[in-house]
Amino acid sequence: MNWSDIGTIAPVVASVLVAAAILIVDLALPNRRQAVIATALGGLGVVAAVILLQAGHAGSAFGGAYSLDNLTVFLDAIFVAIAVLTILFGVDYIEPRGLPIAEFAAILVFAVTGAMLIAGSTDLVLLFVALELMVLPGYVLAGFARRDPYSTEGAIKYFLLGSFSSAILLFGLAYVWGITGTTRVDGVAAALAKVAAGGSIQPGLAMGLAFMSAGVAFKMAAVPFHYWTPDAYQGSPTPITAYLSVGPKVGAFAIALRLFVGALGPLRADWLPVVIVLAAVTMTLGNLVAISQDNVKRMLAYSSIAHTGYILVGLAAYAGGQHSGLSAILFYGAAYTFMNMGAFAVVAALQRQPGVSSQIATFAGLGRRDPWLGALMAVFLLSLTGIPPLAGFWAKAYVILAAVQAGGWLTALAVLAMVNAAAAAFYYLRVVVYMYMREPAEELRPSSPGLLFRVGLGVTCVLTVVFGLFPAIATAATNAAGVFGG
Amino acid sequence: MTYLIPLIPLLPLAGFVVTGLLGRQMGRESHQIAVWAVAASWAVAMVVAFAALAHGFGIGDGAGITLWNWIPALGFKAEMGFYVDALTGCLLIVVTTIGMLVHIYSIGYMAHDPGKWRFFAYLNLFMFSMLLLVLADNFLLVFAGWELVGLCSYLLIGFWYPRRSAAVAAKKAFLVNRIGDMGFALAIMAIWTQLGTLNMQAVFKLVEGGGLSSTWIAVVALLLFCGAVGKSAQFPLHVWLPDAMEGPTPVSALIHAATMVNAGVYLVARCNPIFGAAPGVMVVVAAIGIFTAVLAASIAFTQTDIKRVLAYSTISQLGYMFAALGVGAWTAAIFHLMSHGFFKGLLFLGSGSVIHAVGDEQDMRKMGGLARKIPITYVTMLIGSVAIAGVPPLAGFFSKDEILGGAFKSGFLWVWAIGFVVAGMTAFYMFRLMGMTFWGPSHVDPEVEQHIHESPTTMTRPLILLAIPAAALGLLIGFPPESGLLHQWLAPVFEATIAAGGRTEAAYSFFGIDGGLAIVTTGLVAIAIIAAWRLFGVDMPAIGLHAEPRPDQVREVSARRGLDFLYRGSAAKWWFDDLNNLLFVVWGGRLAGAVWWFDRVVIDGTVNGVGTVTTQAGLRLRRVQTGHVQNYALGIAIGLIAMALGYFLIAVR
Repeated sequence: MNWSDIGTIAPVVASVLVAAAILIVDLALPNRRQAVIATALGGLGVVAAVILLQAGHAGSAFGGAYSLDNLTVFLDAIFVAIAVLTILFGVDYIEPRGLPIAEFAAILVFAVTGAMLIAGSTDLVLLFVALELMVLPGYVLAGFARRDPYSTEGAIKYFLLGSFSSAILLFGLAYVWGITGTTRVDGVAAALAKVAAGGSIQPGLAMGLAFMSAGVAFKMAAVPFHYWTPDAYQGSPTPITAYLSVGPKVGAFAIALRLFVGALGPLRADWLPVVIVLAAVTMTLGNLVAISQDNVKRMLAYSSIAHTGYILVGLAAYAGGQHSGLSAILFYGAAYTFMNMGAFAVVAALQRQPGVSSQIATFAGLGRRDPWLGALMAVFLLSLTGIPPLAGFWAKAYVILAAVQAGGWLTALAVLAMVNAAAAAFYYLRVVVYMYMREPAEELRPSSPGLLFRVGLGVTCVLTVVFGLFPAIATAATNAAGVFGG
Repeated sequence: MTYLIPLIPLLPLAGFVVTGLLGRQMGRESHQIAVWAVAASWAVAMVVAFAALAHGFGIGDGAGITLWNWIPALGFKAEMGFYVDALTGCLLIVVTTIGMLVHIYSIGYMAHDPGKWRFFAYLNLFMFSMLLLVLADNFLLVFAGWELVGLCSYLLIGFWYPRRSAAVAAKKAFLVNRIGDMGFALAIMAIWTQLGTLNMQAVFKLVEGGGLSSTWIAVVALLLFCGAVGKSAQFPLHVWLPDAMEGPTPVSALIHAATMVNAGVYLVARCNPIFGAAPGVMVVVAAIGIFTAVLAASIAFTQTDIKRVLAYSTISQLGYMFAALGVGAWTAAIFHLMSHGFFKGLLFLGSGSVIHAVGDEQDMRKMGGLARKIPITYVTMLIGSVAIAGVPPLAGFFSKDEILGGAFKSGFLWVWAIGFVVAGMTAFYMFRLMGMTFWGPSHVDPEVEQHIHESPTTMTRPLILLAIPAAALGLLIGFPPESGLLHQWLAPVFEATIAAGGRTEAAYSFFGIDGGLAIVTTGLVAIAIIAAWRLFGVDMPAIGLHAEPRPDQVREVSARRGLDFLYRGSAAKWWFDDLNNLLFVVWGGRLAGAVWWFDRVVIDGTVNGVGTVTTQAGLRLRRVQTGHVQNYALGIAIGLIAMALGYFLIAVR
């Protein structure tokens, strides 16, 4: 290790320091929540500044185990944004329920540190360690409302199944190491390129691919490895659900990019059919089950499964020979982050008064009762549906466009994605109908979220609209980030 | 200078957003932001229009500003950009000035309506859409504005949606417009596939440079004209405009008389390089235009609803404009667009004031003798009527004279002849309207009679302000004829097309053919006015002149001449609504019935099957979510095994 290595991994270092600082501040100044929140937000601001300073630079650390490139910077920026937004949304929800805010912030920042480490990992072992660093705090966060039995139940399930799948992934990584003799991503890619040139793959490698695919599919909540999602999402405190729906998912796609595109890229013809089937099954089943949900949180959980399917279409397009599929994935990740967090945040705002459920009936008459919140929710839902000119439209458009250009079976997949998008309109717009065309069943006071919360909502909404009106802003970054390693 | 341009549409957009979100809370003051937003937009527009018309100040013969690359999508590109030249300048003047006055007028007109904030929000959205349409520099953006104004039109016609007729009229306007919009959309697709760009200036350059075969030019021109026919309510898609009068009167004035319906004229004028290269299509444009002019004028003869008379008059005048475009008198068409915008806006607002005064009565048979009771409305409407009738030296005289002169001199004698007759008809039905409303004895319900009052100043001031251009615009920008200010402004826009047409027009001759035509037309107009006055207006028993303006005046005269069938045709609007009813409601209904049967038995059978399977599958799949971790782990294990099998299959491939 030397100083230039530290410089390369500066965002990760800074992030760890922020998490530590939060705990120290809480220890030194107990009951001073403002100090904790200020430390967390200020610290994450510093992390963001460090990331931006790295933009445009390239390098590697620890003998090639960690790489700094445009992809790292882009993903790091998204992860920090996720952390900031989660804290903005979390404070208003965590505090009234008497849960400790400092632990919440610190655990969250640790999780995000893991995600940022994934973004730069170009070594199989580091990739796995980073993944565990991301998901272990996630289990704690899922069970954060520890007096709430649903929260605990969801967390335990998430933990058990998550460990199960981590083991599966590790097993797959071990196979790859055994066959290629290296854990460095570029080394693996070089060795596998020879394998690919030699014709069909060996059963051992097939076994390894299967284990890795299953492990990563679990983390991104692809069908049939999605079982943990609805329970964990519904049980968790809503702002944490918002985090779980985007943080680990984008993290999982970061693994997919580093592992499948970076290391296993030469074998993409072999994993392409699996991704196609996975994408088709995931979006279809996610949407089918989402249609029959009456609870908005659970509906959003299933819809997030469907979105995994759409993003997988981009991965399939890459495997089908369209490099633009990668930037489409990244655009989708960014757009999805903001619109989905926004949607969950509105649910959280309604639940600010403890005892309010996330049943769809809660949303009846929201447009009249609380016009701002209703309008924001409508924007997020329309964006999730994929209606122009909002971010979600371009997200779907770019993914589908890449698939269509790849041709072959991917055209069929693109058509299926469009059919699914149309079907998804049903359950998203159902909420809009409730908000604007149903009379509220009971008189609820308009929830007046705090300043931080409003800032968060404003940021997500503005970004959802801005990415929709000016997709070129984001495509400049995603196109740059889409060119990496393999 | 160009950096000012985006402000023009953005200000009303901001007004829409704020009024839409906060309007309900603002209560009685909900109009404030909307009105000020439009006033500010007007001020900026005046500066930009001045620069554009002066051909200087950073705009010259045309300048654009590109804000951002709107749709970057792998080979396809559409930019968010605006373009301003003299033609845009003229449109800006009409749209923002009348828009602002209508906003002010609406403060009084909608004062007691509980939905006032909604009304002003829609009006602002309309202003944004219309300005987007006018300012856009590429076809896709024009189309966006085109559809948005259609949406606003729909929302505002159906503003009083609990009233069934309003809801039906809104739907009708929307559906009929879709037919035309389909043509416009196809035109855009044709342009993109043939030329690979949608930027208008680039397209025109390519067309002028011969980048498009003459067949494709004709196809594109015809498709564009389809769009124009729908939006500008030309035959055979004119049926929606009269019904659109179900909306509040300021809406009729702004959208359905002065601005939106001009969009078709603007589109054809803007695309003059394309139309100029398709002489066959030009004849179609002229024919549809002049036929619509005479058709609508004939219907206006017998209508008794004051707003419907004005609606048919609007269709007729728009027909004039298309006739002018068709014969290549581009500037005359824009001239008439401007003057018509002002005097028709005035007439509609005036009719709103009348309706307001007599307690929301629109039937002219229940009016009469209002001249003394609402004098400001009367005088301003009289100015508007004289202007539209074409009496010199008011605005309508000059613009109409240029159209007729242009038709005559470019060899379209048939267009001139019909247009000449329509000029007389226009004068007659307008003074029929004036007579039935303002002159003669009163037929107002005695209960209402006591409450007749002049409208508040927010309503009368816009009338006065509109009466000034209605009277003076012709002298101001149209004199001397065919070489006035407007011609100097618009010369760079149309000169290439006119030169390419190879038609050189003789200079205007006061003491030659032009003067002669003007005198003949004015003579006919004078006769028509006197006839209408004699039939509807005179109430001077002292000198033995007395006309009882009975509802059947026109019918009696026509019956006496044995022309009863004409009367019935006109009163029934030449049975177009009945034809549509037969075609679309009766026959279409039968077809739909057959389709419905097929749909119910075959499609629904399938869909319901799929739906049942889906719901069942959803419920089954829900049950997969048992809540037991063991089951989940088992599921994951099965998934893993399936995946391994899949990879083995790939491996042994």
